[in-house]
Amino acid sequence: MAGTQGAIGASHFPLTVARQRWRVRPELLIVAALIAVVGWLVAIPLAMVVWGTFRDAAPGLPGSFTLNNFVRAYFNVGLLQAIQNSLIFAGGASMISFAGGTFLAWVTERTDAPFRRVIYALVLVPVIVPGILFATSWLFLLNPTIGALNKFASYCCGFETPIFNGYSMGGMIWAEGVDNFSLPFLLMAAAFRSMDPSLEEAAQTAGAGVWTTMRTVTLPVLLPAVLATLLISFIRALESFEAPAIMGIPAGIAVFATEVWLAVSRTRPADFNLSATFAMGYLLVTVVGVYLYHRATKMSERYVTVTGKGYRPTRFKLGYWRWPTALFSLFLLGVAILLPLFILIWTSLLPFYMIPSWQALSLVSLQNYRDVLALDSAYEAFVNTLIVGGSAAAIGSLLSAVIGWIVIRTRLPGRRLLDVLAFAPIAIPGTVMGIALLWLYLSLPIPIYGTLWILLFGFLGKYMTFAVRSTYASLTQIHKELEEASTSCGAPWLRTFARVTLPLMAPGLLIGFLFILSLSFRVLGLPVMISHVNTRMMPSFIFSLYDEGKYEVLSALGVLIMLFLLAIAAVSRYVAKKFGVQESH
Amino acid sequence: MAYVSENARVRFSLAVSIAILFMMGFLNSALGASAEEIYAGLAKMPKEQRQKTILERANKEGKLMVYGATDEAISKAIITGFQKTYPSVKVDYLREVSSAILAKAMMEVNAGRWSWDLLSVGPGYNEVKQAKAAARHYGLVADESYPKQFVGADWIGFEILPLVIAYNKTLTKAADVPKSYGDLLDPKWKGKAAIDVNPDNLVTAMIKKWGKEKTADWLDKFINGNQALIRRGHTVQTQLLASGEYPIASEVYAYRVEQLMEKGAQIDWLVPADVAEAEVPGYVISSQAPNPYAALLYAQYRTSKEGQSIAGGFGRIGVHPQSELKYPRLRELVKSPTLDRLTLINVEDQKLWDQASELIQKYVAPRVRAK
Repeated sequence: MAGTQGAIGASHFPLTVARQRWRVRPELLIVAALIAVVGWLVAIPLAMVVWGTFRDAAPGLPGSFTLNNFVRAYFNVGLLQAIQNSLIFAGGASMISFAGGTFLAWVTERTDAPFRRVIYALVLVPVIVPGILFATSWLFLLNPTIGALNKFASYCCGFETPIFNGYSMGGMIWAEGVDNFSLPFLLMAAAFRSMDPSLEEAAQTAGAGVWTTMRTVTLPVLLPAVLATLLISFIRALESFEAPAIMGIPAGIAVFATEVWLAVSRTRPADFNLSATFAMGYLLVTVVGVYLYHRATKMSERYVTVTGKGYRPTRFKLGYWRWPTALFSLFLLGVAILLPLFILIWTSLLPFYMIPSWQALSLVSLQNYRDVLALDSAYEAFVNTLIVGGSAAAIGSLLSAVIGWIVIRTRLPGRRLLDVLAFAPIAIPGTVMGIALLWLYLSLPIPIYGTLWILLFGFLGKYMTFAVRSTYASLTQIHKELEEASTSCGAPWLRTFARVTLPLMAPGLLIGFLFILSLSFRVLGLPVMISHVNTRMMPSFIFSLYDEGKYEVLSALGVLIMLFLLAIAAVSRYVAKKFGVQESH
Repeated sequence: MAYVSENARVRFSLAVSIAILFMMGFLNSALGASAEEIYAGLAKMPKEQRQKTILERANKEGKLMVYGATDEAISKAIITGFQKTYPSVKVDYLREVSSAILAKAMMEVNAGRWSWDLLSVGPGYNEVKQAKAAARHYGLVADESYPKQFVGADWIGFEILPLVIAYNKTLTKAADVPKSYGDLLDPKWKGKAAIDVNPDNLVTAMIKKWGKEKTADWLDKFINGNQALIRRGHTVQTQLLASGEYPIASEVYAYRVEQLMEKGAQIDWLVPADVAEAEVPGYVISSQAPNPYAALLYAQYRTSKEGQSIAGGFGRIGVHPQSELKYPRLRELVKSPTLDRLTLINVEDQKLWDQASELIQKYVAPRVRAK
């Protein structure tokens, strides 16, 4: 009997081993699928951009290999100065946005200062309002001749010469910096919300004050979120052209984006090969940035703030500093956001921009709002934007969660490449990405050209990176032990990911969602290139109004979009609070 | 007789049917006439028969696609008027800024995708021609009263957009306003006159009127010598003029100035005495138009008194001599002898536009890189 049983057992053993050897782990399938998806969304358009730099003909036309594009792009007299200006501009703007955004995030998430909800709502305004409107509003505030602030200073304090000059590097840095408060705020707010306060409590027990604790404990522990924020802010400022166009060109200050525009606008249609060659410069900066980010955060265990130990984030008691902190925050928001917002609302009520005065007050009316509401195409564009933006935001957030998990949690080969691929599109100007996508889907027998699908693919590919960075910051704070506890209890990987990891990442995911949704209303280059007759989005519509000279109607539209998205932001904050780490009171 | 199974017969029939359909498709595409061939045939017909054919075939086609850069409200009004007259033909209008619409249209053509019937062109017309994407229309796009100088072999100009010198009335007395571009070189305007960072229309008109050398000399003196104020975009330039940032804007669209004046802005305009330029944006019909008859019908409507008057209601100057115009002062611009004085820049002036681009890079671009 024993021999028979032994024989039976021996005959089953090889089959069992064979089945175990060939059993496919679900996470490997997901990784493969993810690489395929990201590859399609990002790698192919990216490859076309790279290909375009070495060709001398537009996509679809016969051409030959050339290095002449590099000569045309990078060997021009003004480029060195433009690069220097760009570094100053992007560096200054990103420092302002980081400092302002982080301070306000700390106030709203980690202190007991009053008016936190008001502060939260106001900080989100710039992320919602198209950059071109904000930049023009700053021009109307800081203009040396007709700027409202200079006029006010002259009227009330007798200044004869203008105090502010928007046509300067300082003006550009300020306008760009405050326009980008929102992203650092959102990223750092999520990080602050998920932070175990025990480290800070230990510092305070040892005698450190609030500011010392913030400087020596809080910020260093949140290094991944800090670096992600600085990296994205810097690259966005580098790519930005609104402030440089409106304020820099009149001042004779060219940045890299100005040189790109000068070179590309010389020909009609725009020179794709030259645009792609310039995009390589941005790409290089991005790759270096990502490398430095990973070098700085490779010891990820140091930055864990969410562990299996139960906790609730607490708020610093500011004591006598409660009201001064709140008032300073409101003052900062007033200067940085409310002033241009006031100009935007003021302009939306006038037939054309005028300096605030009693005479101008007599011309105030709601005509511009009536004009907006009378435009049928505005409704269609609005609905299209909600569909594309909402879908891209939802899918992008989910994809970023999985990408984040692979890059941060695993040692799988190719994860760094996945990281670079997911981040690289931030460097490619929207117009260049749009042209690459146009050519791709015009050439392939995939019938999505002229539909909302091409817009969805474009937004996912280009802007998923914001969700990815926010996810990294979130995931780095969560200790592995929480997931390990789940898997050791027998839960498969997918269930652990869905029931443990995702909820803990919720604040970071929701920020990614909100950001991609708001960008779908705000960014111009990509949707202008790839939208079609029935698929126009708000940005195309906004750009058309600007091009037609209807700045005041555009201001009215900007105000309406802002009110709508503020409502969305309020809902998302409620959801984040409900499902994220609960704070103690 | 050999036995042939039922399955084999079915497969054979299917194969033959597919082959026939394929051949029909092939022949259809081989025999399908291009827009130009259709228009050549129409041109030989008597007028009444021709118009009847165009209308019948356009109704059968039932739709057309226009790619343009005309303002939203204007294009909507024109399409509404067209569809009221021809309810069986639906018009889809894709509106984008001119550079984007041209890029999109040419990408489609280069990829072998012919989806547009009419396209707005200006600079970039040569690329459209090189790609053989513009159909010759044999003059069928407009009636006899339409001025011939606005009808090319394969393009048609719908409107005249004069660019003028504008001034702020509270900052400048009427007597002091510069009357010509030569006057702008007066030292009293140093640092007070604005110009677009890409004044391609103005410089093209100057080259056409003065030649390249004199234009280069003027640019050097105005941009560098007189420290012209560089601003990006005609929109911003006109707005800032109305707001009082500077007293003179050297190159703005007359109708935009009129629109702001109507709203109460204290600005005005004049036609320069030495170079009076006007842009003539054009449209082409696609050589592979999916709906060639509908495209021709739309072009005819667009050049008719009715179609032109609709745009005129928004202040755009139509070419048709009897079209109505909202701003009477603009109508005077396009009546002789003023019309004869205007230097018209149409789509065929691309060679001059390239020379203008060269001069702009030489004299204007360095000001943008001054610091």
